[in-house]
Amino acid sequence: MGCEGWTDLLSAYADRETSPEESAQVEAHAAGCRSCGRRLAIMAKSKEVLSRLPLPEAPRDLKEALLRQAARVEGQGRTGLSFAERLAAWLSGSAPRYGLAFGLAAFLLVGLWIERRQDEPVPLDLMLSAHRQYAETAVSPASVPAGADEELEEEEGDE
Amino acid sequence: MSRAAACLILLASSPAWAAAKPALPEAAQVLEAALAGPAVSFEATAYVKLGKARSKKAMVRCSPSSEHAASCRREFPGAKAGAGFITATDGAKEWAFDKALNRVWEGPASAPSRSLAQEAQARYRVSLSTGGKVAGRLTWRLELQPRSPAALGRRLWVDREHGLILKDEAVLPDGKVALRTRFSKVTFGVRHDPALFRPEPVAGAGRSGRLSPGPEETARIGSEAGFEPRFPSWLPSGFVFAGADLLPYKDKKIVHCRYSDGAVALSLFQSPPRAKLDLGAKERREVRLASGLGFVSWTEDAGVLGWSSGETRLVLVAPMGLETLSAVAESVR
Repeated sequence: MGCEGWTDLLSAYADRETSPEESAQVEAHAAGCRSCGRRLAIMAKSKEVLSRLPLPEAPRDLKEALLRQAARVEGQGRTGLSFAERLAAWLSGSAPRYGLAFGLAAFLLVGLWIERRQDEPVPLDLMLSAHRQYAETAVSPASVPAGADEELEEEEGDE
Repeated sequence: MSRAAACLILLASSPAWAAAKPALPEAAQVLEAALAGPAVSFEATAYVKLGKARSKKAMVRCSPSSEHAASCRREFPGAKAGAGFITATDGAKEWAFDKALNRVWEGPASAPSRSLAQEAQARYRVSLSTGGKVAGRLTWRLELQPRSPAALGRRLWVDREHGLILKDEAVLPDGKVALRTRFSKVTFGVRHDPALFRPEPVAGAGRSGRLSPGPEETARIGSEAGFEPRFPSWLPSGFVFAGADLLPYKDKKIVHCRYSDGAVALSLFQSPPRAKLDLGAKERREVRLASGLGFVSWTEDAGVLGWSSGETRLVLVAPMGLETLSAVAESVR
């Protein structure tokens, strides 16, 4: 096996993840191979430097956020819930409640508008106008000349 | 006693004065005879005047009948040559012919309206006076004052000899005359050919029922209106169903059924179920009909009767008294 074949085993040795037999083989090879001995020394030094760096502090609400996220993931993963349980779970969120309220309001407004349209009273004047138009135009007989009936009135007289 | 006073007493008690002022008959008897119609045939020229409109002239011929209502024929000349409107009844059937449209209507004769004949005394205060001459004939004048403010008043000039109503006025609450019918040149005792009162064969004429359209026309109106229209089963004699159309208002369609007797128009409006009516500021009175409460209002040339039947609002408009409007309304099925 050439030096390239030792890379994974050198890295595992530096991380102390090799078995005693593997560790003995790596130590024997690194003692005889200058290149692999240097790579192993660099890996050990890097590990030492990294271990001395300060650890960054986690955000304070990270835990709560992770717990919420975990709970949500767990809820989505439930497949055995009934429709009513899932609907109740959905309704327990605030966004759906706003959506439902908005939908109901829109429904009521549309209903009221339709009701008003239906309730809008028909004006009697419209009918009287239609009747007058019919009476003037559709009744066929000829009218007597103006004044003819007034002449008849003049024929009248008391005893 | 002075000499002048003695002369007046003498004059008042003289036979000549007594003859000039005839004893007045009972108003109720004159009214009953007038509504029964004359016992003798006649022909006359009639003038029908509606509100401020010009009069319309008609030739009227009637013969009494011992079996049923009198046989009558009425002819209105048309405005143009070849036009005109004829109605005829032999007391059992009615027939009408519009020359311009070449259209014929036929149906059972209208029984006389129960209006004045049965209820005059109950509905009106009747008073009688001398009425002067109408058509050259002496008359009694009957004044019918309605007991209800919802009804029209009537004034009748009745021929003293034969009881024919020579002049008839329907009077609005404000005193204006809504409809006036008067006769002139009356001739009594004319022998009429009975064929005048029967349907005439008219080549190529369209035929219709007198009071309502046929089933196809009814279905068409109902389909376009969105509800089933209704029609009266009684109209005053001479009236026929002229047609129906739709009156659009917003998203509603109102059915307008039109009727005429050749001179006078009658309209029946029906609005869709649950539709309301805006009566405006018109003065109106509540009236009781067989189907429930309604209202009546008067314009300058017509009476307006509104009522509900089921979910439908109906409005009747015609220059007729409340009794006749009510009789038409209660016959709507």
